[in-house]
Amino acid sequence: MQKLIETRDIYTDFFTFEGVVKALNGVSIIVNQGETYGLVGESGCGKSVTVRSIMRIVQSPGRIVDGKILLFLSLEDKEQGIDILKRSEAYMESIRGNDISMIFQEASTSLNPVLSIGYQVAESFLLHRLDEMLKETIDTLKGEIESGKFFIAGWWKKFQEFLFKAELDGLEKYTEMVAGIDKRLYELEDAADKASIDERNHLNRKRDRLRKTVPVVQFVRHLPFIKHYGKKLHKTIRIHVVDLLKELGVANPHNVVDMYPHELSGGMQQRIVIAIALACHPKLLIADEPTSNLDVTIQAQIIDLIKILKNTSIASVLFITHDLGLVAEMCDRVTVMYAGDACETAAVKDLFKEPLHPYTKGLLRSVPKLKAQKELESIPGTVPNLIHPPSGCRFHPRCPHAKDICSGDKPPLIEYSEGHFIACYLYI
Amino acid sequence: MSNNIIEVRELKKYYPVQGGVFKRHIADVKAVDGVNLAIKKGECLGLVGESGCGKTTLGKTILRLNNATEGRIYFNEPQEKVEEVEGLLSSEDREERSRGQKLRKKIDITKFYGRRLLPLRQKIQIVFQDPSNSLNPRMLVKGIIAEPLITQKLMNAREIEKRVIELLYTVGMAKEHLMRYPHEFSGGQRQRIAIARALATYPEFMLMDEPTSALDVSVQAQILNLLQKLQADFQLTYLFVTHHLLVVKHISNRIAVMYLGKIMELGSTDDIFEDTHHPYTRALLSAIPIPDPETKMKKIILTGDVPNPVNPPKGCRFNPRCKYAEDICREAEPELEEASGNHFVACHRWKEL
Repeated sequence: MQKLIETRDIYTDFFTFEGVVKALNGVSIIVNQGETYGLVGESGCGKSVTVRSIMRIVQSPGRIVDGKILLFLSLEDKEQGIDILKRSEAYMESIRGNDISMIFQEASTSLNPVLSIGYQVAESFLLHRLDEMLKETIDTLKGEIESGKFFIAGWWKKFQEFLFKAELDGLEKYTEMVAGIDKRLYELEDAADKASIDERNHLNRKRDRLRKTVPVVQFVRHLPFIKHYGKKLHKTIRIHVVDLLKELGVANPHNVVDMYPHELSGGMQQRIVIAIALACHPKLLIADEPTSNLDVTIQAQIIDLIKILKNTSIASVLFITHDLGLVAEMCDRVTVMYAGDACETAAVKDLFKEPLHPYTKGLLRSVPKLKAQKELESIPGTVPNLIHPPSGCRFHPRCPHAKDICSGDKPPLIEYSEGHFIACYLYI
Repeated sequence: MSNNIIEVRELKKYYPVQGGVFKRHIADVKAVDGVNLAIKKGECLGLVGESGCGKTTLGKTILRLNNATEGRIYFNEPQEKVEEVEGLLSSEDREERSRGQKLRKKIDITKFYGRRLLPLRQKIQIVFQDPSNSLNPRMLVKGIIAEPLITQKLMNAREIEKRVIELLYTVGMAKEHLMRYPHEFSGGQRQRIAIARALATYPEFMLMDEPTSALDVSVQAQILNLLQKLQADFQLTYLFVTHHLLVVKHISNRIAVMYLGKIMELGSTDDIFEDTHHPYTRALLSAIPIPDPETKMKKIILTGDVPNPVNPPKGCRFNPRCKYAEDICREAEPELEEASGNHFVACHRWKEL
């Protein structure tokens, strides 16, 4: 199986006033091409922090302290991968939403209430697929001129032809200006990353100079007549947005495009968020509890949608949830997390059939099942405070099988059977 | 002694929608629209439904936290008396009806106001959804748990102190938690405090308004076990409102399925899960994610959303989303009829399906 993304021992800390919250304690996961990978755990166990670290969007007091995040995107770097922690922010911006995109927990809070749905979906087209869109706009204009359906005979025809030609020229120049500047900025920044220190200074100065022209371009775009080209572009993008919404099963997308988030129901909002994430056909979709605020029937709709999309347009899904039922239904492989530790990684069937880690066992037993049972077993105690986490295995204060060794060092992740990894001293 | 602790008859709760310059009454949000329900003593009745179907409103109306628009609720009244009043109210004779109204005022708790509610509040208690919102952050745990006892004037200060400590031990906490504030506790412990507060006045009936939805799986199991233990120890009756079907299956004896302010199906837990009649219940059950990769249930995926309760669809309320809907479903509203012993269903076509 081809790897897509791999994290090696990431440590993420949050530097708060009360102390350093050690949110991640060396998490290693591997997501392969074409699989659905699950991350399960209780709240506060670091599921969201893991994926935020992968996207490099950990919030302010937090920082990725140590570790490697390797990305295997294109053919050249299949072997070692790109360590995205060492790359520039510009590179990350080109990755986010384009190759890796993310659906956040609550759809209602992740949509901007003052922007229309169409604008919000179009944003990722504008950021990552501007070249294509501009080219397409030019093509449609050319097509219109060639087909000549607007033309009437006589001198009027010549005048119209002149007008259209002028518009085409203008649009091409506009394309060069608008699309060119972001691309050049990115190239410079990326080159600066790899260059030696002397060169870097030079490149940085060049970049700063280019950056100063950005407001000018932005201003020019809004001038009368020139604004006209922008409108043509937006028309093209709008067609794409409507197509995308139709694909996601939004009822009458032509109207929805002009609506605002509050006019839609929760399930519909979640569909819009998925549409934003899928706009650029990402290789990896990270879904951070996409259904936690929805009803069961709507949840079933969304899960069904993600399943269908996985077969058609996305390569892999990293699915975060606290619901073990959803894991059983959706995922191929799972990692169970507890208090910043990745306890156990296995194929779904193995995990549910023979859980090895005491925490996984406890978790599986505490879920109400379809078959009747007398009393639910529960795990005694509560999740520890991560400012002063327990030494060694973080689960040992609540573990029924805890030994002396458990409070010493962190247990290493070993392969117990094929594809079944576990970090517990019981199995060493 | 009556068998039913709560009897709900034709209960309606409408919220007015106002508009225009003079705040004219335009329409009603029909949150609860004609519900008949009887809760037996000592049982746990689960109330399931999607969000916005009126399950919390129904619960709160039974508790008299909302005033009912129409309908009658009897709490702990002998069966004969309830039947007598109901008979009088539905009789043809005008004089008998007015006699019924007079009698009803004495026992129907929707007619209770002010001081008459106080003894009722002692017997009926509630545990809210999110413990971090339902506990006052400025009060000590001691104050929180003692508050209902102080309002009810049940005992003197020394007894209250003793009772509070006793309650803390019943819900699995200790004496040293007495002088702390709610923010010092985890979610599970906060919910335990909320349960202790509800237990303080020796209630007979408790409304559980999604008590575990804000909690994690392992903590949820602890709370569910605690609730079952308390029910056995103190002979409590629960109305368990939730949208989590596996939880409701675990804890309840009977289940009522609600959709848009109406009860769609009512029956014992086994009946609902194994011998399902209503298409909505079936879709709801098939949508549960089952924590077992081996069993794959065939999914029935409902299209669309829950309709607006301001103008619910004509006929059966489920008909726009129901794939078995026929002409009769679009015209006549189905009554709750008995399918088999104590299993009720509101559907025109349940026999054929």
